[in-house]
Amino acid sequence: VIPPLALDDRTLELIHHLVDGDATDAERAELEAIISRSPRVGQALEAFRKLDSQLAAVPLADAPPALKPVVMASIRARFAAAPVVSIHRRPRPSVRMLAVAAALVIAVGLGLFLATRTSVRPSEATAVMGGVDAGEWTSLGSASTGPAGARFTLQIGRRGDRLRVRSESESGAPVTISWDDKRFQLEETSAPDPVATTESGVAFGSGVTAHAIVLRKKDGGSGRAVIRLEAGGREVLRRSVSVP
Amino acid sequence: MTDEEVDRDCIERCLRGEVDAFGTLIDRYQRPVFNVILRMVGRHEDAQELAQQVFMKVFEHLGRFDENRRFFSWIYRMAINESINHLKARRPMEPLGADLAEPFSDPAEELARKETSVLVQQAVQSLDEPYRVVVVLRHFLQLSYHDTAEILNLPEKTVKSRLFTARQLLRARLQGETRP
Repeated sequence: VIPPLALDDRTLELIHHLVDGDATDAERAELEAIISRSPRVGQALEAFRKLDSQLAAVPLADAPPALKPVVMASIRARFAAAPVVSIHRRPRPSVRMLAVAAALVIAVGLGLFLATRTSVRPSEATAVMGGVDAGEWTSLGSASTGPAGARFTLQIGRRGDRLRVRSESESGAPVTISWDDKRFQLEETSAPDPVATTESGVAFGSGVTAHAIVLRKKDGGSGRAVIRLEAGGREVLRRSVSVP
Repeated sequence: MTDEEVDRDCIERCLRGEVDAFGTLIDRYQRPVFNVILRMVGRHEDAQELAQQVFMKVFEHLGRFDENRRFFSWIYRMAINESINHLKARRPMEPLGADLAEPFSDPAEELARKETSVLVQQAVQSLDEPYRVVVVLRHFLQLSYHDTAEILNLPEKTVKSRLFTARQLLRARLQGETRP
């Protein structure tokens, strides 16, 4: 076995260019001069050329005929319940955005700390925060589905005879939250305003990743609620919860 | 449309929910992806399974595809990573190369060529992964040094250096094989 040649960077570069067919006339002349001083470099060049043609002669294999059908069938089966539905990419956080987010987290944490220190009671804190997220909600569970980057999540909380339904669409795809209209009525929605509201559903537009609504049980009694999250005209998640 | 524009169009359509657009991406890349994997792992059956996994992963992560990168660079990188992970899991190395032989139409006329082809591929298989991968990308996929460097996330100079070493090793091994 021939030991590897110790060549300087320039000779290496020239041989590469020649073997790859990229050498200029000046580079050819330069390499010829080197070869005239060191015939072994010339022998190596010829050996590399031969190897290059041997490698080029190896045929590319055809892809197996089953490859595409198998992949497409798997994709359709796996993602049938959660289509990738948004043209909106989730923006990549820049260092600056991350810094701003970190500052906000610190500010919120500090604010909560100070609120606790000044003995604000829970009801008062709720009033300060306001909106759909106000107050404490007992979690009734959550569910997620879909591929990374286009995942959908549904979280449901309960407080008394009210349900808070939070949805997340990672890609910002438009979603609809719907419910059993005979048992529940819509009480509140998160900003921005939904694009459509009916007796049994709220449709949110694209570009916003998180939404929330509050539903109130109509008769005040116990019962089950079926909450559905739809995207792209299809149901992607469904949760059934009990309201005591 | 350029190749890159076709890729981007397919990706955007997939992200809009047109799953069939992914079929176009498979049509465009199944042969090179399969060949990258086959040349890396050496076995047809394994290569088919790994190629399927690569396309599934690509689909799952389309939403995270960096638009500043070129799609072929991303998918080849994924194919190489899957191949290397597979090889690590398969160690200690088993005999390779039996599935690399290509059928020829005229066995008598092509015998010498076939033998050379198999020897070359087995020699490629015998290279360590860092050398094998540059040979596969440069020689079998005919990628430029620039593209190879981008896929491997290496400086072009390192790619050239590794390729030169790989060529030396291949030359030495083939000489050893073909000597009487």
